[in-house]
Amino acid sequence: MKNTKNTIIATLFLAILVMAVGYSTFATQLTLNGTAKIVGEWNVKITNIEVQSVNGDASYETPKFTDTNATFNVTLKKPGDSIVFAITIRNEGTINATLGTVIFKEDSEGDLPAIQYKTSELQNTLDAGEETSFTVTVTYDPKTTEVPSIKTKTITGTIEYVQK
Amino acid sequence: MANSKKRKILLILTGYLFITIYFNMTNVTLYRNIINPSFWGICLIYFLWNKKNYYIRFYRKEKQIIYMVVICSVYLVLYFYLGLLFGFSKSPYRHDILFLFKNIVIEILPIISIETARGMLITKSRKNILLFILLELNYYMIRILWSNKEQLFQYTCSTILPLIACNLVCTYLSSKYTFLLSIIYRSVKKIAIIFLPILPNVNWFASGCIDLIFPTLVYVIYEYQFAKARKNKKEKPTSFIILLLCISFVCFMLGIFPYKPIAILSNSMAPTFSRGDVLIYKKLKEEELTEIKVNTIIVYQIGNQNVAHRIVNKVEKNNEIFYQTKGDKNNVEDRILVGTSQIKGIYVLCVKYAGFPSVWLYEYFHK
Repeated sequence: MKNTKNTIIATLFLAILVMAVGYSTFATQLTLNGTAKIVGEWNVKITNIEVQSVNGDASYETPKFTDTNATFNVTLKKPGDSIVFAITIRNEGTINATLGTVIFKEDSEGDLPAIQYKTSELQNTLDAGEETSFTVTVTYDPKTTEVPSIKTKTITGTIEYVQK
Repeated sequence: MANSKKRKILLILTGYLFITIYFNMTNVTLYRNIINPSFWGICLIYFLWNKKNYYIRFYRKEKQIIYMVVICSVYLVLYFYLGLLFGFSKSPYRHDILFLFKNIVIEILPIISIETARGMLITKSRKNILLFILLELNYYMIRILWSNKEQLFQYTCSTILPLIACNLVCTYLSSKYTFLLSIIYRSVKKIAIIFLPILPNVNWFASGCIDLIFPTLVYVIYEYQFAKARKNKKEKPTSFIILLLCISFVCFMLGIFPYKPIAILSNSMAPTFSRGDVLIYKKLKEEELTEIKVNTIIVYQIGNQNVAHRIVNKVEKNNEIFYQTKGDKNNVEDRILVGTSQIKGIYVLCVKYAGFPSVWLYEYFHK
């Protein structure tokens, strides 16, 4: 019996050691905030972000994404410039999901009204294994005549999926 | 229970294993929401019908059951305490009455039925552990993650290894005491996850380690009790000490202590430390971040990567302190100045060659 116990504890130690090696390998990856991930069951995540179209002189930095975050930076030089990003969300868990709250808000409300954004409609349900895409369009208002004093604008979007 | 009946149950469970694999590969939603709870629900009715007196064992094992409830409660408190370190997140489960009922049927009913089956099938010579592990493996997730080696590794560590450990301890509890212990052991955390609106946002390493250490701890505690019951006074608490060391090691890796290790991937700081070494750094308080002296080796973060380089100059820009860094072996200073918010700590100690497994693993995953 004592041998069994020693074997179990030695195996545990070995498993933790292997996991520690793995952890230190991936430890530099950022801690993500989002919906709690119940391992193996709930895993709704962003799987891609790409530029769908660019109009005018708009330019962009390569968009980045993690499981729960997508970031993109654009430079719009003149009225009428616009850029469209397509973001793909996939349900890689086993729990079917439905769209909860969707909030897009500007960090400083009212600043830089010439820069406008628009999102396409999101698919309401996302069953296990399904994926959906939506677009975010950023436009420099073609009707604007003033040169804005503020040059940057940050918009934060939160898309929440809950159990269906 | 007669052996012929046991064989019949075993045969049904083996058949169900193939159904599990098939539906995990084809229609996981149908499997998870309908097939699995229905199968285990029918099984439970059958078990109760055939073995009405089985649950009477409860009355003879009150002490062990109270013990298990206490252990699980302590575990839950500790698990949620981790939220203070890692942060809390909203639970994806819905909490309206209908969904709570649905989640209990989907998540808890199979646990009760599986553990009852385990308790009924166990004999001195046959434990059927492998069958129960295979029945509970999430083949759908394995298939999804198969092409991503890194995620598959994390999934194995955080889910598959704990599942094996859980099955081992449940088999132990069922064979030595009663399967009611294994039902409590498995249900408490699941119920908490289903009912609570927020959950600790622990990473895969913490989650995997907790779910490996906890069953081992349960095993050691009950084994200790069992030895005491047999009046085996020679039993020493060595296992507890080793487990405590394991827990301390995990805390050290997670950075819960003021010191944290990282593996070195390049030779830019040779000969102070080289590729394959493990560097231990000390975390700094916010007020200390602006007081670091030139010549100190700091660990800082750029994007998703940690860098350990020496400070060669301190610069003040717009009332903010920045540090210019350089690798000892590099000819030129690093191009980008390091802000205080990027700094994770200062170098304390180097353990030669201890980081090679991490380096190899990194290269394997990123080749």
